[in-house]
Amino acid sequence: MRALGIAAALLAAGAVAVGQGVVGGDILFDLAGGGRGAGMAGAGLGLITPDSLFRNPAALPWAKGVQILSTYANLYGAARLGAVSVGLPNLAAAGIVLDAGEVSPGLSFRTVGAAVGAAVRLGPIGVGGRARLLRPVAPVPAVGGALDLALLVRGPLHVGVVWKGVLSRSPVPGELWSPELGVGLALPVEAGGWTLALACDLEDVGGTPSVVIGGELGVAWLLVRAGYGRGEIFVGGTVSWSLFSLDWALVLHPVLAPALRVSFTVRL
Amino acid sequence: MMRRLLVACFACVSATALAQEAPPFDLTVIGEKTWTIRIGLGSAGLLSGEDLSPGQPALTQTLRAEIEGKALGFITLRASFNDQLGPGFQEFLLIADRAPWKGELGRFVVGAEGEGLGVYNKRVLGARASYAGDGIAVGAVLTRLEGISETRAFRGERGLGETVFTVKDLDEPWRTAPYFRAVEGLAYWSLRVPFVEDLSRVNLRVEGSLALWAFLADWGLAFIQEDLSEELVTSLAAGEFLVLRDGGDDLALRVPPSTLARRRVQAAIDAHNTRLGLTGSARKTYPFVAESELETRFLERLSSFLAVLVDEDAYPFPQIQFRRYLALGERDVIEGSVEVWIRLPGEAEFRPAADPALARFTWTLLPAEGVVRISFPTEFFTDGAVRVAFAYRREGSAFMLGLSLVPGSERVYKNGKPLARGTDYTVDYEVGMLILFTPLEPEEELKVDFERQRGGLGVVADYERSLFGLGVSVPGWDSLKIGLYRAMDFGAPVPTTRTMPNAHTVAALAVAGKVNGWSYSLSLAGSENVFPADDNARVPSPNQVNAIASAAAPDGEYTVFGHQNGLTAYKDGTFAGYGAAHGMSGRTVHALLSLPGQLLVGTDAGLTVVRLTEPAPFDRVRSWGRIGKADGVPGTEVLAFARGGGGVYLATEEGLAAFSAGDAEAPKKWEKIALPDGKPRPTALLWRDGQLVLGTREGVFARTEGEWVPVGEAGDRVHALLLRGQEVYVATDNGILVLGGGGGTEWIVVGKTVYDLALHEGVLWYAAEDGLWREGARSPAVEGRMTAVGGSPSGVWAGGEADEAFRLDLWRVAERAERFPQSRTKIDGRDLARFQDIPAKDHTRYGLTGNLTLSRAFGDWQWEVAASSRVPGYEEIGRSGRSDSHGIAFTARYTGQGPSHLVVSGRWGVADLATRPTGRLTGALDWRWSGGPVLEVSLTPTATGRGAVAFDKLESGWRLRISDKKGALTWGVTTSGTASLSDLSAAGQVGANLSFPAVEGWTVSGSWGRPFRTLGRPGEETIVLTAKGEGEGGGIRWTATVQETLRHSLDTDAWRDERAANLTLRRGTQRIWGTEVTPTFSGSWTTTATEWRWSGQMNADLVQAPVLLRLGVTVGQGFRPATERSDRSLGLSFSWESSQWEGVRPSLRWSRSWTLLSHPRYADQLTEKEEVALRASWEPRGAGWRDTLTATWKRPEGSLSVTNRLSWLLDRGAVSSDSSLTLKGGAIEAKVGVELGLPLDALLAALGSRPLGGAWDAWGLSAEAGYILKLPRAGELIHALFVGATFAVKF
Repeated sequence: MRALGIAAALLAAGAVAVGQGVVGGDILFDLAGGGRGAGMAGAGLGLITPDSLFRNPAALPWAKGVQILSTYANLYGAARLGAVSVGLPNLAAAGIVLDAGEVSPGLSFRTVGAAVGAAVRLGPIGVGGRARLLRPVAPVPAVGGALDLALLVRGPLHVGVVWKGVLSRSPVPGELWSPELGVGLALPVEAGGWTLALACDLEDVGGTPSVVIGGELGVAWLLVRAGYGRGEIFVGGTVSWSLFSLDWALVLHPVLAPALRVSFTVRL
Repeated sequence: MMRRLLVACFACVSATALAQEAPPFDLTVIGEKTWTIRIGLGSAGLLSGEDLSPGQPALTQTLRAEIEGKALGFITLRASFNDQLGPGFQEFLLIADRAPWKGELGRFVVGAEGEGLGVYNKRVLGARASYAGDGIAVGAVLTRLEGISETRAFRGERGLGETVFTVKDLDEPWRTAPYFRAVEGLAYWSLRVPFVEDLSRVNLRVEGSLALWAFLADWGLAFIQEDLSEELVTSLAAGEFLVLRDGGDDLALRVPPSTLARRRVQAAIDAHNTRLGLTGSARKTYPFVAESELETRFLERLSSFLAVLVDEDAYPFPQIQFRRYLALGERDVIEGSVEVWIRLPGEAEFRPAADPALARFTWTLLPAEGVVRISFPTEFFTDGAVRVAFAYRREGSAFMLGLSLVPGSERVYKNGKPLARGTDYTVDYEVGMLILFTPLEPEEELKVDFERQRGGLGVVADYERSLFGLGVSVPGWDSLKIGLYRAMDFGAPVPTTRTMPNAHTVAALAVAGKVNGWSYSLSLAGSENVFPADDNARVPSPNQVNAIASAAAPDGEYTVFGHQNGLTAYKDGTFAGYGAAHGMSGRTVHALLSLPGQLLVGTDAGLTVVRLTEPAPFDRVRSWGRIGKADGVPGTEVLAFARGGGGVYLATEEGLAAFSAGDAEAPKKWEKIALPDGKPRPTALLWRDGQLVLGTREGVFARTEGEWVPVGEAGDRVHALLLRGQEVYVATDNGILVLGGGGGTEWIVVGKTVYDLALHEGVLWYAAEDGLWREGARSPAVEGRMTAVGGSPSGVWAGGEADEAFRLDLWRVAERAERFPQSRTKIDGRDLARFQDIPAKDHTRYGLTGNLTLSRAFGDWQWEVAASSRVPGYEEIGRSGRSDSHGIAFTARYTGQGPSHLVVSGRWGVADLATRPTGRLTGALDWRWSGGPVLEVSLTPTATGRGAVAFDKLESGWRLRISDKKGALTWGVTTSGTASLSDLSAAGQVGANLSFPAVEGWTVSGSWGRPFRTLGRPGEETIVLTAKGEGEGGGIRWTATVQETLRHSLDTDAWRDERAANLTLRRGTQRIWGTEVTPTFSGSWTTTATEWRWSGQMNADLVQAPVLLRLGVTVGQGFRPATERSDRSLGLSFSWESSQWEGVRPSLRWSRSWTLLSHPRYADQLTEKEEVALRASWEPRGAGWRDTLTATWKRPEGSLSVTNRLSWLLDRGAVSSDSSLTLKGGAIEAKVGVELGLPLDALLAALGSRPLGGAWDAWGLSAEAGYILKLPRAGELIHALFVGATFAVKF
């Protein structure tokens, strides 16, 4: 019964494929994004954020200093996810663990993953790529991976494009890790110490398109944000102090219990 | 819709909060963040104790943060995160407060105590905003409800229970009642010799005879002979039986005898697997489907080889008796609380057992075990029923409310008065446990209103639920307040949704003020509740038969029926049902295909293959194979089958597959075939001359050269396909269409829906909406809506859809139509997972309520008059209860000076005015005079009756008490009770207490209580005499207590007494031969009706600095007259501790005890326990480290463990090491772990780098490493290594 709950939770969390009891496709990496992105429903392909590795690696050249981002997510009370990423200008890497613990004697659900992203900046244009390694550990060990391409154009309106799974190999034999194209528009505004950002992404262009929107508003130390997409509401915020930032997001599913995403960033 | 509004509201509040000027702020964040990475290598079993898997790095994080920030003087943020708790336990609230506006965003409470106007205590997530102008205040809320309101009530330290015992199951009356709810009661044997606690041994014996081995071989279980022979006698666990004393001793089973038999076989199979090390597919499993007919036959035969042994006395299973003991499900049932009702066979109503017509029905309670012993006539057990209501004792002050409560949502009332969290009680919200700091008295009531989380571990919710509200307040106009709230579910029900969406609206108005010296408050409210929580259950959809097939097995022909709830197999006049619990892939059967040696079952969750290679195949676990989408089935639901051309074809909602019959369970070998364009949902499949014909909801398609081509008259929904010669018969919503081999079409039945087709002995039969038809007949063979038809050697079978009363019959037509009712088929007429809507007009409640209160002071008297009315159906959002009530009340309270205090009150009320009015007139007088002795008088007359003013029952409660306290002398006399004038009866008790100093050092106290009752059993009179003394003489300080308790049931003359005495002697410290000696002696004596016992303990502390010795001796003896069992015990203990050496502190502790159980029938049984612990601590002055070594030896476990802990505080940081070595049962386990923790800067300095300083002071790093080794008594050495690092920052 708990296995069903976990499957339901993962599907509700935005999963696209759960085969043979392993978390396949982009699920793990979508979940590993920071609380900031989650608070905007995942919208923000055109934004530069501490979790650019997960959202749009083409934004990596605009990263400032060293940023260590750690994310924790409680997935509807059924599973826990932990991720740590380190970002430098032009380069970032991350490790992710999703663990549902022992569902029944001898049956566990556990998946780990890693991502490495790199990008270069050509004036207002960033071009980058990302390699993702997906390794379901339990109940069925397997290995898969995907290569993604990304583009970011910073004009008055930012345009981000991410083509996920240009090359891919599903960890589940016989299943596809389908390519997916996403296009996002973002309008970041900074004035008088205030920050406003609005973002709208069109996901899975050419496949089954869906729109997610999000926005955030705040000052240097406090941001509040909200988003809507895939039938769920997302609300969240950020508090920054000293070297640290704390992002949180609450995902309100129509029927399931709320899910919490919290990420902690250290800026060096 | 709601969610979009919430986003918009969120944005508005955010903008209101933040769209200001300069951003000065004051932020406080307190907390800690850690990252831990660990990895282990080696034995998985050893690493599991460390939450690690071999070779798998584990990343764990923790975060705890308390955040409070203020900005611009009007924005406040409060947040609290702890990722060790669930999402429901995280707090955040953003407040923007700038007069006249105030906005809140986050988690807060609507309708908190004292502020509710139509809403009661709902904790929500969302936003609310208010505007407070000069003459008006307006507020609005837009939120999502996070919890579901519940109420629990507890009365004293007692719980209430009710159990119904029947012959048939209450929910599924075609089945027999389960073991603990059957009127047959518990299985038992009458013991031939009395049972003696702790000495009598209860075992299960298998008769290891040649007949048994032959029997097992017949059933394919010969392989367990060796393991069964190894252990023919196994002990029964204490929870599996109970001994009932009522005259002689009876031993009753707390598990069904068949379960004991099944467990024994399963244990032998496990032992076989373990002995041979069988794993995977080689592992043997229990072969039978639980509770199947085959298993029932097997266990019945097996039971003839089983017996329970009480010591050496055998009680065979075939001699089990029933019909004597009914288990209530709770122990410690309160005598006098049990009420028994009996329903005789053929009757519909229960009668009280005291009914004169039931003189042959007698019962007695065995309170300690919670069992009712019955003696009923034999004919009762054919169809009778018993209902037993009872109360049982609860222990402690913990009250379980259920998992996952919304934090802070509880409102706790004790006797109607609110309690405060932290002061009166505490709550664990995750576990759902409430703990009172002071226990409930027997007559006190605890009521808890709370909310349970939606989803997760909380309540399953079908819909998203929101709360909107608008409130207007006009302070200058009699404090006018108007509120309008609406709580509603969002979403539409789908077939599997169990409830209808609720919409609950409340409008309320309140005014308050003063007029001519009177203070008044008036409130009026109305509610509309559409599909309230207790009236929103959708009705089940009717079950229907979807497919019928005939299948050949080695033991004969089976007719199989697939329906919405599973599979039903018929053979030789008997039906048996199977579902997911027995081996099916899913719940609903869409299609069946019978092949040689196997039956394919298409379900809503994959393909099920039943192997028909053994007799009774459906009852054998190994017959069932499940294949799903993850295994390669091209879809989730298997909807149709076809067979032909040497192959088998299968259709799902996503595609088709072709395979040979031998590959039915090897989907990777299947050939996948796409559906026609647009993916119409398949309903039927057929093979005709090398061509696949597919029936769908959108017509018929034929596959030609790899392409699907529509055929026939497209568009009709197809239900079934049948091949007859070269013609294809198509059952549709509009009749039967015949597709000729040459391409022509013809309708042979028109104008009605035909669901299924079958050929039997060359004749066409079809199941239609108006009955089962035979080709060419003028009238149906069976009337009614038929949905499936199939041929079998015994005739044509048909089944339909259940009727409105959920009756679902099966029919067999041979020479005539034969009906098989539900009582034979055991098919539930309800579709257990699909539901239908219910009309809103029949499930909507409306209601009104109004309250008026007037109060005024007249001299020393404070008067209050109140009137209230609640029309049936009025419900406040968040509060349970909707019954109507109406009443007027007054209270007069004397507030003057002097020793007297007086309160007089009265109330007239009526409930259920519209249906069955019940009037209640109550008064209360409480007078307390404290001019000398304290005199308390309380009278509470009450008149009740059917009707608003028909008071046919008049009674009054009273309480009189006079008491005084002068120095050490206290006394009191009390009487309390209730007198009924209606039947001239009274019940109450008289009591007195006295306490006085008898002689110096001794206080004597006594209490006496005697109940009286003019009707019924009066109860028990009690006298308790206690003498407590303390004193000192001859250097010895002593304390003593002697208590005598006398109890006397007023039904009998016999008194029962219990005595207890305690004496403690302490002699002051004496110096003997340079040693300080401090001896202590204590002794106790107790005697009750069932046991007497004495014990003595002597301790002596001997201190010869720096050595401390402690010696102890404990002796005791007990005796139980009922079983003649006695016990004697002796315990010795010795401990030595020395502080002789600086920095080293050794100690030694030894204890040994002997317990001897004696009984005339048994040999003495001696139990010995011994423990030795040697401990030494080193902590050299100034060294900064401390090491503690402990060695412990225990007997009879025969275990030796040695542990060592070293901790070393460094200048900056700390290192610690834990190691242990355990020898037990011939196995050795050793574990060593080291942990080093350093501030980050200290680590950098040690490595020769420059410290970072500043904010990095709060960072720290720790590393750990451990090694675990285990050498089993038999087997190879296993070991594991783990390392880890934790990075932490405090802020």
